[in-house]
Amino acid sequence: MTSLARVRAAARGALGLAALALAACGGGDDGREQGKAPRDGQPQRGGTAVIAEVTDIANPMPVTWHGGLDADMMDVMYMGLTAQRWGDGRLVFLHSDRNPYALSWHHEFVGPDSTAIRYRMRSALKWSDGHPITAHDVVWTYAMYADTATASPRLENVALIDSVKAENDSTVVFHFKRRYPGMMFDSGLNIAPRHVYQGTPPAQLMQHPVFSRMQDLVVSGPFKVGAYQSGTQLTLVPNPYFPVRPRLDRIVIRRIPETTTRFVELQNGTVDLARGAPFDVVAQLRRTRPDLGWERERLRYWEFVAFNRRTFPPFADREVRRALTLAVNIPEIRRSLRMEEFTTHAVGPYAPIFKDLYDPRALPPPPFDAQEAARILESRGWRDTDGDGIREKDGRPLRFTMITNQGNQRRADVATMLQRYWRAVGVDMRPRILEFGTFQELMIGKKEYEAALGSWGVQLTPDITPLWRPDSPFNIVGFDDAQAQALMDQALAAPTEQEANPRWRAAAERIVQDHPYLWLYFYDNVTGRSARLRGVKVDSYGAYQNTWEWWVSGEARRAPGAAADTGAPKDTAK
Amino acid sequence: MLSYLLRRLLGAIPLLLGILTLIFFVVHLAPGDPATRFVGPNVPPEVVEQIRRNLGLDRPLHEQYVKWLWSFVRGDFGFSFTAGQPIVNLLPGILWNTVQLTLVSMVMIFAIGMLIGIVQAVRQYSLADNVLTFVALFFYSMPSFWFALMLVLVLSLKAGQNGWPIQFPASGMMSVDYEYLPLGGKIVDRLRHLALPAIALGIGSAAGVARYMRGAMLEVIHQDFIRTARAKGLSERRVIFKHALRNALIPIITLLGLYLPFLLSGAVLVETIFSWPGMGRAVVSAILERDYPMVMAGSFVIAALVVLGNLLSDLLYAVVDPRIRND
Repeated sequence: MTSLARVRAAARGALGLAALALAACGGGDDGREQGKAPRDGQPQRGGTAVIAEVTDIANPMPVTWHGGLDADMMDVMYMGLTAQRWGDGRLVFLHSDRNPYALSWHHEFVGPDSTAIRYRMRSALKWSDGHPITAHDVVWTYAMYADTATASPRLENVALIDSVKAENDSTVVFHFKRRYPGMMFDSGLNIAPRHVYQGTPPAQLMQHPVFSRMQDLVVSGPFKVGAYQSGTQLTLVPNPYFPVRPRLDRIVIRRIPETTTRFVELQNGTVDLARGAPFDVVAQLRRTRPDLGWERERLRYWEFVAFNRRTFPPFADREVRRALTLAVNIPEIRRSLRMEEFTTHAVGPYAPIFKDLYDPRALPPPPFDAQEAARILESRGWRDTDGDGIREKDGRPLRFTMITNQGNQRRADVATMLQRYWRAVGVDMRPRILEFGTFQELMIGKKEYEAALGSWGVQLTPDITPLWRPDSPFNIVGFDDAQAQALMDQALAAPTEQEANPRWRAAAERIVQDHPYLWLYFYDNVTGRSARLRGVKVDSYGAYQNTWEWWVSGEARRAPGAAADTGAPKDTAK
Repeated sequence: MLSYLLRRLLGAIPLLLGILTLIFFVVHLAPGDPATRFVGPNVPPEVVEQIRRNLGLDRPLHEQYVKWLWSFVRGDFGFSFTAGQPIVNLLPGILWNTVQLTLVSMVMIFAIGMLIGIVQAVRQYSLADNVLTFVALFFYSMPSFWFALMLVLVLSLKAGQNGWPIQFPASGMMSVDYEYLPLGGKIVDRLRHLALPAIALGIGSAAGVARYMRGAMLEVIHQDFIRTARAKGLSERRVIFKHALRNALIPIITLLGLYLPFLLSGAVLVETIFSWPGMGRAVVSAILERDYPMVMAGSFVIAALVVLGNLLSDLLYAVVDPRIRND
């Protein structure tokens, strides 16, 4: 059974389902494209940054948050014992000497087999209401994570934690059931303020009254809620107790779900960051607005066609699935839809951002070879006997329905191209576009589909078992390979990354050889940035990881979208 | 009149309950599961089941219905799955947003539509009549979402890029520093933000009202009492606005009853494009996300407003036509 820490990264990856609806994305080694936006100059204090987001906050609390903007707000509002960041192709865990977001300044592995970690927390840290942050907050938060009544999406992260004990106010020890590579990750989850929530029954935490008064949220991160209008606008103001004083006076997050409007606002200069840029919008605005910058959360989503062998018997034949893969010219899809720059041909479950797990030599992209595809189908008994251009076997045509969700033009275009490729080798695919909830239920809930075009979020941890374990609800294709399962079990049982990674890579190879999916591409999440906002660090980890370092340039200190001649307090350049 | 009002209001109660019962079962029986929004590859199935239990979704449907009905009649609309808040906290704000947009749109629809209709009727078959007919049909046949996007691109984006003297905000209800504005500044700011959504929402309907107004006025101004009014030596303005208009208003008031529900619930696309957090967008988002309590609460408010709108139009009949009042 899985033991690796994962959830935060999982939801950070927008959990595949959120990703299913997304249309946008972006690339660049450090996730940043300069454009012609000025990047130099000394950071200054004061000013307001305005962000256009697709979604709204709902439950911004470490134990219960479950996706959307709440995931990003964890990087703004709540510290963990370590600050987790993406560095050199893997997650890294930083202490307070390297990142003010960390509650601890030191950790050490203790116990006979290094199955415990002792964290020493910084002293004098306080919540935004002035209460001290102590080891007891850590203990209480982990008790809530582990309580099944809480229904925390991070329950799996604490499955291998035996106990969490406070030795004193600033020392906390995590005892694990055994040693495993994800111990740092699992013990680094965001911490909630015990004094605010401890009287609430775990099952009621999600409905705590404070979520009706967001400005009363008690946080530890650089910003707290200053004002909130549900569905409209969230204003963040500096948390006076965060160890580093944020440079900005305010961050205003506006919910603008419509893509065109969001990027009109960016062009108007009324927002500084616009999330979820469709690739064609990026290409267009590069020509007309070279002053805009484009930040990229690299390769955080994976687009696929799932072949459901449970419901469509021809997909039970691995060679048929291989033929369908060979028949599709993925480079041409990427080129035709002008997304080469923001996508990478996907081969296997690990995106190229994983330095230790992505292995292009072992898993090269399969070539486009329609002739070979036709030959394979022929050899498996699928022949066009009646001359209608569609292959048959035992009187049944090779015809299936591929579902996808509405509201995503890219997916609609990809579906059209796939139809053409497969038709060329005598396979009749019929696309069916469904409302998102129905699509989700058919693909994941009931698994009543033949083929599905969708995407998963890419997790930042190596554990791939949720998609590939035979008993997992997310094994939507019916993959069941004993050798792959054994390799994954060995990887999960390995005490160190060095021992686990070769097994993960081997499992990935087994999976790819089975052709359970048509692997299309990994793609970026792209954010448009105005020239006035500086200091924003965006990479595969996320877009809100260093908000205290954001700043606006002196010549443009007035808030974007501000009405003229207001009595607003002037942004304080210091 | 009072007993009539009371009768109508009491009659609306079973109607509303019937509507809501129907909606309850339709949304619960439709494909999709509210718990799927909590589902992810890293969320164990037992957590999803616990969430379902915490939200009361594990109970049989009839039990959920009785529980919902009991809460509902006590004024408890429940807890929004998506917003994470009690609906009674959310609904007034959403409703007020919608009322603002609807009121401005209604004023625009009827003021512009009636004015154009009157001009067309008074100058029947003139160049002005033909041009206005063409313009009215043009806007009447234009999809509101397309028109909304054009408004954003022209009156917001292009206006800004070309330095036009007036540029409207493309989205939202207020500027980021709204809270610091003086009262007058707040009103102006809100009106600036209302302009584009109200135009997008109202222009097609205004064109429709113009067509109705033209027809109604033409019917009235050819009647004997208008000729008599003119023969008495009344000014043309008095004839048109006092005698003809009042008699031509009845079909227009019917439109008021028809447009109100459309504006309240049918503004989804416009609200989405302009990021206007109103009822239409809230209910449709709730339906898509299977936020059952929000769907029920939103549907109730819309249904109640439709009933009230129709009641209002009936009352206005009585105001403009004394014969109805006496009946």
